[in-house]
Amino acid sequence: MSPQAQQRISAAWPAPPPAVLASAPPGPPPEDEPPPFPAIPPEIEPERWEDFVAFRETFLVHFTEPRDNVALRGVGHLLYEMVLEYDHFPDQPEGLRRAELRAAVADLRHLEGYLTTAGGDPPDDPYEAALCRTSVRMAGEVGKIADTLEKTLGTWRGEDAS
Amino acid sequence: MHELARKSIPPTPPPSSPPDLAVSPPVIKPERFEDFMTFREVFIVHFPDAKANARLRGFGHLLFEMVLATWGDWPSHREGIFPAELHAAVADMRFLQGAMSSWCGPAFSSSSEYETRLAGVGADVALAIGELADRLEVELNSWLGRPS
Repeated sequence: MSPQAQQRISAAWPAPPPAVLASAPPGPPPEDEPPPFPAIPPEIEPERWEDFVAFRETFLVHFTEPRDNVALRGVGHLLYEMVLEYDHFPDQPEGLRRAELRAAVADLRHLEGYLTTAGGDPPDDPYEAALCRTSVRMAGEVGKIADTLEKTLGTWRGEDAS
Repeated sequence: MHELARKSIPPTPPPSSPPDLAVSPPVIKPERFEDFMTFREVFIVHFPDAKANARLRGFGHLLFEMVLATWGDWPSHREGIFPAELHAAVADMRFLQGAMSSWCGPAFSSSSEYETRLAGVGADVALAIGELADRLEVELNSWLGRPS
């Protein structure tokens, strides 16, 4: 691993979690121990996006057990660092820059569908019902943003013109 | 032919395989978002090898199915799963805002007119995503003032 990559990981994860240090998998907590405070979605500073590349937060939200959540984030970091070092894959036919933006469009479409579904069945609770309405409105706007980018990217994906 | 001799004959080489084809990011229909739950596409784009790409997606499917089958055993979100899911969506928006600002921001340089125009649209899109995240975050944080 490059020193730069190592530095980035160290900055994001100052100390390995106890579960990583243990030589054997940790067992369940004793029954008289209070339940752990659940892991919650992080507030991501956009300029630190590279610390959160592999897994979607809408996936990690299900891992409320803190040590599992930390472990999975660690795996994500590792996979990302490894794939950046790995140079045996074929090149993207339309170039990496365009492929990355197309991947961003795909992620926006995912978010559009997620927000539509999340807000699609409003409950009785007025706070959650308001959130549902916001969620559906947001889905429409995320879709419009994806449309804009997709239109600019066009349909060409590197196919040979001949 | 002697058994040993037969064994020593190398097997016929397989027909030469076609050149490796890179896999482009998919077109996701929003209503099928659950088929793409685990990994971000901006991560999977670094796996353009068709087999590696398919295996990673398969692993992602499996992982998500296993989560759905087991997550009831984990601690509950104190604010409830729905607000937590929307907080997660905000985090994903912030991620995309940052990624696109980084790719398309002031550091961007290209001699291609097309890519320069693309970067301009990308920078605008990053700002628009940030504004959406701000709005959703304000709505979510209104919970903090709600009597319990």
